[in-house]
Amino acid sequence: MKRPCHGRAFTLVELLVVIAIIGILIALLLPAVQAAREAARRSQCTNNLKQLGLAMHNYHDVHKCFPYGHKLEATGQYYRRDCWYHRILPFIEQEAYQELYENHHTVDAYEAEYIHRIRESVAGIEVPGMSCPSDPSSPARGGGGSDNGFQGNYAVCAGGGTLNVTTQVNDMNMIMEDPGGMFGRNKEITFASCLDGTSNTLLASEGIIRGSRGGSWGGLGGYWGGAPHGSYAFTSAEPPNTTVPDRVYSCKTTTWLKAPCENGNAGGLAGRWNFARSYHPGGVNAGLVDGSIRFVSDTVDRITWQNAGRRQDGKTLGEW
Amino acid sequence: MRTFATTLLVALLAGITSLSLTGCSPPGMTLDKVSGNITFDGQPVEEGRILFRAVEGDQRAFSGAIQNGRYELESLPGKMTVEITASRIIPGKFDESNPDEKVPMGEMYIPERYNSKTELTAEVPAGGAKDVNFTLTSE
Repeated sequence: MKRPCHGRAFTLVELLVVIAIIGILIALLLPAVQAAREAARRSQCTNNLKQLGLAMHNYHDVHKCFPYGHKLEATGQYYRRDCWYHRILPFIEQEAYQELYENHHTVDAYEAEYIHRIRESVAGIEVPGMSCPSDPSSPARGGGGSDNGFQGNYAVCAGGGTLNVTTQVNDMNMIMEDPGGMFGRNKEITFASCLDGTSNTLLASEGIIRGSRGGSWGGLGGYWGGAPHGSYAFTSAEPPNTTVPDRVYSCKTTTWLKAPCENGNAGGLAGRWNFARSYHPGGVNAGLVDGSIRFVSDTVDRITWQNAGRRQDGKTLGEW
Repeated sequence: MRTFATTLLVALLAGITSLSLTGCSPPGMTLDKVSGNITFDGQPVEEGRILFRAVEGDQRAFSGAIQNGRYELESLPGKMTVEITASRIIPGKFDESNPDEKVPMGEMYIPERYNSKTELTAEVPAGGAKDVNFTLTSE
């Protein structure tokens, strides 16, 4: 008997081969999709940093200088520990928010004395564009003594330390009037004093937040009260994602993936600093004073990275 | 014959995809594992930090935690200066630099010849090393 012929049918082997190949293709594609997701997150993070750079330029246009890193504390003043973050709010489309914040002394004079006392309904507002989507802790709270205040991923560059640093001297310390970079305590630096050139000097970069919640003082991005303990800035004394720990007044935790930390107060350790860190594979985003953004590899030459952090060391950067 | 052609085409596509995925990996640093014991006056250092800093080149540093007298870190090979720090709380001493807060203060108790003015050195061989030990004394 002859088999009736209704066109050509697939054999079992053909079907199995096709299924196997599709399986292999999917297995190959999945990591690529994950990589594409991270690429998208990194791209958003780059954009955030770019907006921050533009905001700084606009601030300079209006005020003829960059904002201070953080304000010198003085008795009798309101808003002690105010930092650059609060100054640039109007330039990242948060003018109403700044007004709300700066009128807080009429709402509660005690809270307005120190900004870390300010209630959650004001300090806890997350400003879009200050959190890096690659950091699973973001949007976070903390860094300023309690969980009231918003903690972001971006910080300005305080300086670059010296080549032959040790962890016991103040070569890397960021808490002083002029740590050598574009920002310091109460110091308002201008384009004119960026002698190394705006395209050779770091303006800002990013950091890793050690958990979404959990008080502590001084972790990078703890804008609401942590500034004099290190929150306001990073130093380029060590390359991005270094295993050398950040050193702040107190850490949310001392052990954290890619971001070890030392308790400055409980450990009796001098100096306060944060380093540039991120979860982007292989490096961090960094903004230069001219407003440009570049991805800096973890393996960048340490001397180049240090020179980029200082605004007037007179050294050329070369290829980086 | 047609099935064979389809299979070949799909296999080729798969090959190209896998190639493009594994194509370029960034040139990283090859770090080697170093570990060992640290004692201070004969006692293992319970908690602290150890740092290797390259003597040559850009003087890059590699740090690791000390726990129960043992440390482990990843470092480039070569000549290193070594810094060791460890702290303890000072009983009855408090810090009040933050308003509304009184918290215990600590001190770093390892002598400066082991950290800020370090005399410690180590040589990290290519491939890493175990039992790079340090014996510290207060005298």
